[in-house]
Amino acid sequence: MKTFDYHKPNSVSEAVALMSNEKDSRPIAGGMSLLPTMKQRLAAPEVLIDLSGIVALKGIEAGAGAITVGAMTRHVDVANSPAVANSIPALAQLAGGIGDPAVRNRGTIGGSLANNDPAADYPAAVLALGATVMTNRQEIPAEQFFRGMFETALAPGELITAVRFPLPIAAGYAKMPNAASRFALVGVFVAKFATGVRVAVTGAGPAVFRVPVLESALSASFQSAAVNGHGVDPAGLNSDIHAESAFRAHLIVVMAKRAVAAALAAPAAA
Amino acid sequence: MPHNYPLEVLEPGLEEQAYYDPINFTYPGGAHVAEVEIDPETGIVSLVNYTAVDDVGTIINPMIVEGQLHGGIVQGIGQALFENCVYDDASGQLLSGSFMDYCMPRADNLPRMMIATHSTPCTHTPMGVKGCGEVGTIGSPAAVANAVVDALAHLGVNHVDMPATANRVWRVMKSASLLQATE
Repeated sequence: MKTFDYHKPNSVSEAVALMSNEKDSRPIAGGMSLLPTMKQRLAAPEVLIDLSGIVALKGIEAGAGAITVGAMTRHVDVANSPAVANSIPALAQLAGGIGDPAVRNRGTIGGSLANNDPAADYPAAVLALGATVMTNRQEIPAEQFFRGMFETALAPGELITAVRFPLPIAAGYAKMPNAASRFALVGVFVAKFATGVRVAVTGAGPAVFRVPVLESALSASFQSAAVNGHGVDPAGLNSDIHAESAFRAHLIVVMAKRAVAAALAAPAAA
Repeated sequence: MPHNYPLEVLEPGLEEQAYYDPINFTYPGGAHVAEVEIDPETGIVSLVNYTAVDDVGTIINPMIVEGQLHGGIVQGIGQALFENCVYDDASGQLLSGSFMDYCMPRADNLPRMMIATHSTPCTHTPMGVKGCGEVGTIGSPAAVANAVVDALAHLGVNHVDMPATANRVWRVMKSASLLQATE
């Protein structure tokens, strides 16, 4: 790891000012991806701006029809939140399955989304639930936020402040872990709204994506069996030493089925 | 040095060589039984039960023996189900160069093992002992791989490459099912 300067601002405006003043600066949230990358010298920012001192970025707020999670809220806090368990239990379950306890005690939702790892869990929930990513400048709908592998709609100097999740009628998440890393080989989040069902897949492509063929099948009938007979085209899906693209295509359907089963087994939202 | 030491023909010093030349190797043996379950949708192999009985000759410290067997068995399970050294065909680059990609067996991959010993003293070692360090590693890959093949036998499968990863098992099941469908 190369040497770097370190700042710990107390407010978003202070953090943004530091980011524009200091050249080659990077905001750091939980550091669960950035620190290992710096240790391997794949990244060597000159300045780190630690967001953990900004109290306004932490916490979970349950409102009418939506739940808002502050960007610096840790995975463990989402996993253990009664408000999340009551409104979107699948989101609490997803957060409780990220990495391991050490990662969940440090990692944050904002950090995960800004990093947009192709195998991260949170992007699946954000896209399937049609959440809104709130920044210091604007509100970005999930569809426009995830641009590609490790790429988001965030501009330089723009920080995620919170994520607003609309409450679904039912939702579920199922993940097939990579045996070695235990990141999602394929993770599927399904969310049922009055307007229809949304299905988002992580781990299988360069970035999270929706599956229209499964969405229409599940919108017609929100049952596990509804996805039977529907296939996903392996073209364009990830293929690596852990899973060929045809296997990932197959797993998308299997995990969608299991996510629906989980959604139907979960208690209805309060 | 003595006054009459023959320095011109003999360098001073002390030298002694001894060899242990066993008249025979030791022959530890055993029987290993593995029970696996395969998820037909994902190809994930779960090891649900493992029993091993090994003959390592006279046992002096049973706790060390059990630890050796335990560790050896798990190393073999790793070979059968998880550990995969992959090189890029074109560049020769190691693709499984970290534990994010090279899958070591972990505690939650393993059942509680039943390990027992059955000692017949070795007739040609001083205390009747036999080798113990590799016994587990030799029995377990065969036991686990055979259990995987047995679980798929109804599909006409008679071989699965090690390690039996989810992708491989799914591929084997898929090919076998296609073959059965065309027959």
